[in-house]
Amino acid sequence: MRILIVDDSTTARRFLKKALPPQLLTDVVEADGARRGLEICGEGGIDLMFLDLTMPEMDGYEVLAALGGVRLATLPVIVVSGDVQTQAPDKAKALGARAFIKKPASKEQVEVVLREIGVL
Amino acid sequence: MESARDPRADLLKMGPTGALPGTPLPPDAQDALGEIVNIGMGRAAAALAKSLSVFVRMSPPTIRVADGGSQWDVVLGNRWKNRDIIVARQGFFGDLKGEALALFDPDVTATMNDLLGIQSGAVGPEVPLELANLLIGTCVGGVAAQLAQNIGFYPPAIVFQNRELEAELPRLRQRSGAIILVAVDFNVDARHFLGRVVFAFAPEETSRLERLIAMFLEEAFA
Repeated sequence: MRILIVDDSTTARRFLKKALPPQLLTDVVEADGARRGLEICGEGGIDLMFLDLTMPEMDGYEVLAALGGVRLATLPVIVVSGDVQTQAPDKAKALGARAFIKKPASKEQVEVVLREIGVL
Repeated sequence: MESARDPRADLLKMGPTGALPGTPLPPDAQDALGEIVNIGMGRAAAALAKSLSVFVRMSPPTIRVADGGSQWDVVLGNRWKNRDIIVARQGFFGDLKGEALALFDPDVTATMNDLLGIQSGAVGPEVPLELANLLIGTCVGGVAAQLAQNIGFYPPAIVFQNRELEAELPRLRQRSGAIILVAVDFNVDARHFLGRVVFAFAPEETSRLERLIAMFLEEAFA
């Protein structure tokens, strides 16, 4: 399974990789911004995306909108965000995200969500 | 107009003799601080969203080390130049010391009243002060909490209102040593720009902050 992590923060990407189950760490691709993330997605071969919401130039909501419903039907996206507004998960899911994890992501949170969406 | 307040909080007034030189944060520590701020500002947005029953969007944090003051221009941003604005500030003390600024449009009171559906709400400095208190308290408090630091806040005060930033900028630029500056924008539904929060850690705090961030990362990735 090839996983893409889209987050402008190196620290956040490290946090997330640490929270991933070991069996999913074999093929992880990182994008340090939304546009790079979309480019990698466009190249194909991504099976699961972790997406930050607050990024420069283009935020996570815009990434979801750019991917669109057709792509998101086959590419599960898990939003990982420090945005703890109650509306944030609903807003992300309305745009096609499968799940929402609050930063900093813990191993437990990630595992629960991966099971919920059928990846584990 | 300066307000009378505890001089320990007046970091923005520190002149060359009032500050100890600090060391710039290395890039990896700046990145980690950005992520810590990201989580802190998320809490600020949530508090604001709850108060206003709106969805709040935030910019990614801008982090700069103000070596000699030029970075103040970066964190204060072009949006605020050549126009009248309101600036409030609030000092924080305790395990981490510094001061935060909140920059607002002059019509922030009308915007807030509009969002709250109030036809004749509060006037004067009450709204920007309350908003500054909320945003600064939750944002800076959230950063301190993640670093396991206890901080308190002085009451917010208006630095100036309905004046151009340029007139005040020289005073803000005159810093010595390295001051870590962090700026975050808060918007409501992309229609209303609410304000920018800039917080500055005291020059003598840079090495301490660097140690705290290193400890935070060590703990997180142990």
